[in-house]
Amino acid sequence: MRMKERIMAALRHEDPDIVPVTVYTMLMPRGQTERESRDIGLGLVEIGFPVYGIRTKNVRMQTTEEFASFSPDDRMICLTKQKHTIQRTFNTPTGSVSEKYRWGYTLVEWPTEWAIKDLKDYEIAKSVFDEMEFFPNHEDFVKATEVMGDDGIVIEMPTKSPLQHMLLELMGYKRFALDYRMHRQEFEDLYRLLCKKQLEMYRVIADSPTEVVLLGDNITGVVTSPELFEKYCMPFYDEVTAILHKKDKIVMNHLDGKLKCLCDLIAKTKLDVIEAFTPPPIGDLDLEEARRSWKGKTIWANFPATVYLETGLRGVERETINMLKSAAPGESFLLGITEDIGDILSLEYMQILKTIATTVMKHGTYPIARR
Amino acid sequence: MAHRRVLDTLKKAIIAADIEGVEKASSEAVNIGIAPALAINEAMVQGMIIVGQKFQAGEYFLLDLIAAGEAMQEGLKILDPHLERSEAKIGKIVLGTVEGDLHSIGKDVVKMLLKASGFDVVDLGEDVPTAKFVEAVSEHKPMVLGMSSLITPTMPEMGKVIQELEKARLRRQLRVIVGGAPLSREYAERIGADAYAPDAVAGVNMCKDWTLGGSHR
Repeated sequence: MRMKERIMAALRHEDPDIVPVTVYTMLMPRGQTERESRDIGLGLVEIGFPVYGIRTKNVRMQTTEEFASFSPDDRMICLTKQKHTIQRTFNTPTGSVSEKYRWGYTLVEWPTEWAIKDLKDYEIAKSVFDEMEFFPNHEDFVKATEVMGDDGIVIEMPTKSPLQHMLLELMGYKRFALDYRMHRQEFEDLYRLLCKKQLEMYRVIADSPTEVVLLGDNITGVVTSPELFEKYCMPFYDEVTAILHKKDKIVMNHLDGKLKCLCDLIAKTKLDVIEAFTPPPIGDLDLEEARRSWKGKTIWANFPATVYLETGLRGVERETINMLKSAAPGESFLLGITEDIGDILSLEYMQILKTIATTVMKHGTYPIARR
Repeated sequence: MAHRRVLDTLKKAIIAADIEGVEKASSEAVNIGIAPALAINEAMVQGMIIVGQKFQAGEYFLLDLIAAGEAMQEGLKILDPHLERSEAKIGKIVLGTVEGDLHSIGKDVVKMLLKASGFDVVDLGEDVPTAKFVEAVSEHKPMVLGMSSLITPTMPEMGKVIQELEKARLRRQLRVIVGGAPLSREYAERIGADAYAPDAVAGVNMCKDWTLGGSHR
């Protein structure tokens, strides 16, 4: 099988020839090593080409960026010591809100200042979202899919679901914790509006060429408690999966934190794939228990990043074999590198990726023998 | 009798993270002449201890801890102006998230709980360079240095800080505690930290044991 076929087989509960092993393209340095890694069987996952666009009539967004590196596009060059900040101000007829981000370690934006800083900001934020119109925008996605060929898949990853969007991107945890208790009306009004607008967005996504949709929720049960998950996330996931399943899309969610306390609730969702599932020592739910608990769902497990630091390349090989054995016979299972496992410019990083990929090629032939 | 009732109300309001309730009970405590130190120690701190226990038992989650801590801060704003200035803090702690890492939630919760327990906390923030940790230890002479990392590639920064403290002959005078989701006890031992905190409450309890138990350096 070619890599794309292998990935899609695992996602559709069909038999792959070998358990697919993948890495996000943003975690993969370009050049010779990338080609070598593809050749030894490391598949690529591209999440950077949305299938929709957003327009607003009365909202103007002003962006200010500050760089410490010599080239704004060369984010890899200024990876660890960079001080690249982005401030976005949304000007609306009812007022302005602004947010500030920094480029984090893994080339993702990390909020340092949230749009909702005050109660009055709720109304302004609502006016920004209320104005949003979503429209199909497939060109770049189609082109990226052609470029990817059979070496991996391109998937749609829209914004986080409403609760996680509020928690991580609009308010920050402190404001969220307080407003949820003290200003529930404002909190709920914004939440309901976000649900309404995001469902409009998902209807546009449903009619797009993407076969797979990834909700990038970054959930950890330590923060998003079972109460919040059950009350807010689950009903929203039901609505999203209903829209997307009608058009045969596979729905995944990036659940990369501690999930033990959410395990039973996750089982009840209609999500098809639990992506970025991270076993101990970073997560708190072991792979075998997750597989038992989430029957009917595919697990796209993340290789726990600390293994290399704790035990070196031999440990990486051992843990890869351990994960494969835990998932035996290996149906509905993929192994991915979805989080930071090292400095992506370093030679040792490539050695880690190669070790995982070659170990899967050697020990991951389907069906894998049980322990 | 009235004193007991107000202290109980204040404690319950902290446990419920009821900010308005905390403000009301704190004002009442001042009005009826309860010593602010008594209100803090008998009601607020005791309430936060129960909040911590509920967190460790899985009954409360991080956002409950944060809300309770914020409620306590609001109460302290009312009690603090009436507090005798002679009341000393139980120890000084320097905290920070290591260089390259912008996560703040774990470190902020530890800070809040430490303050609630009576520690003097110097928060260096996030993405803190090694030199800044060393400089802060030299300047503030804390009993404990706490470092946090949530991104695996930044974990070695903790070891670098410890090495630099040793080079500067500052290591022996303090305890080093490390925490963050990707860390483990073994890793903490390997880099030469004194302790690994699996969660915020456990970390604060260790700091309390070191200082109140008299086992600090």
